[in-house]
Amino acid sequence: MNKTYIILAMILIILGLGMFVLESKEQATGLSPEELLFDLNENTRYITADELASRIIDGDPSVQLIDVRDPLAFRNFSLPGAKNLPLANLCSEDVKTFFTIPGKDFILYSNGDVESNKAWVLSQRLGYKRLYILKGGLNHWIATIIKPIRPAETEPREVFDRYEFRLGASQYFTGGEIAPASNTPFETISIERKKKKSAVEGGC
Amino acid sequence: MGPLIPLDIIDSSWNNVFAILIGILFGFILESSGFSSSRKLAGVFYGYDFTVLKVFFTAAITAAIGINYFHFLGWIDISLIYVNPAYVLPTIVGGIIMGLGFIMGGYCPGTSFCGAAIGKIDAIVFSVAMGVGIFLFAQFYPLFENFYNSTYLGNITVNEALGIPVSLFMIVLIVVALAAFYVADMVQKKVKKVDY
Repeated sequence: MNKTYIILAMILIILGLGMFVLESKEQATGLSPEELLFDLNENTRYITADELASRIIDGDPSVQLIDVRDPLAFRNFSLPGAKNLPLANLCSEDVKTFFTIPGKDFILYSNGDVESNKAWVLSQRLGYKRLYILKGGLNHWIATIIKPIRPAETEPREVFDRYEFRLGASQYFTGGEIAPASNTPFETISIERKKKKSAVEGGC
Repeated sequence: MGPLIPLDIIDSSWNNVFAILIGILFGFILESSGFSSSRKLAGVFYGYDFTVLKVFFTAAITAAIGINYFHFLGWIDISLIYVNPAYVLPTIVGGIIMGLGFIMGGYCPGTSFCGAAIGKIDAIVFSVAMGVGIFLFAQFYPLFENFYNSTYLGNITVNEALGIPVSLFMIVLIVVALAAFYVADMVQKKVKKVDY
């Protein structure tokens, strides 16, 4: 038999065996710890309440809100257009297809940052793309967008602009609720007519 | 033409240009390997020439080893590679029909164009007949549409279907290929030489 053939056959078999070695130390699928650390330190995953509010108000079609709290909390209060996906449901098949909807930014939120961050790590691991977290969660949302606090008079112009935006956004999201009636009773104004001192005398 | 087109490095309208260039290259290699000769191709069946078996099996193994090494070294994402959908029974029937045509005509689709390009009459006839066959297939498609789409397994690979690691499948495939080459050589020695 030709020597070249034997050498070539040996090379093929060695290459095949090399695959065994490489596959046995197969890298973990998904994010490596280093990548995860990088992503965790990188704050680009956060979206601020103001940014989110302005995108919702502008009717941005790429916004897909995801509420990772339990269904009860979701029923009590949720952001417009949000889909309720508690942490435990994230791995199910339905959800996997949901996350493949193209052209969507999936914005996760919970009451604070902790639950949504958990959901974010899990979703990253599941290979979902375009994931964001509402910074500060609903608590921050309520504190800034729904009930904005009037800045001090000495604050710069931008702060006031933001405050104005938040006031408008608050009206947008709450439907411009009527200010509650104050408890202090109105001072009753009684109109007293001056008594005429005397009958009209004489003419002009 | 990955990864240049999916990554928008060049425009997708270049697809056809690359297709033609790769086609020319492929045809050139087929012709220079002697695959434009129907006698050489039919030799696998009659046992006097196993070039086709050796070339294509080697190509398949080389590509498979390369892709798997790239995957294991993290250079490509193997999950993004398109896997043909598997229809078991239609594939078997189609393979038998294709094999019969191959033996009767002495060409497979690619090599028939290759032969036609250098002016071989049998290859030209084969190419035309293939067109007729495709036309008839399209006309009668509704008759066997159900069978055509039956026993669908999805986009799976052999090792996935068998549930074995890909490296095990590859080593088996390599051994099978080497054994096939060896047996082919033995057969070729025994069979009377054909002058072509």
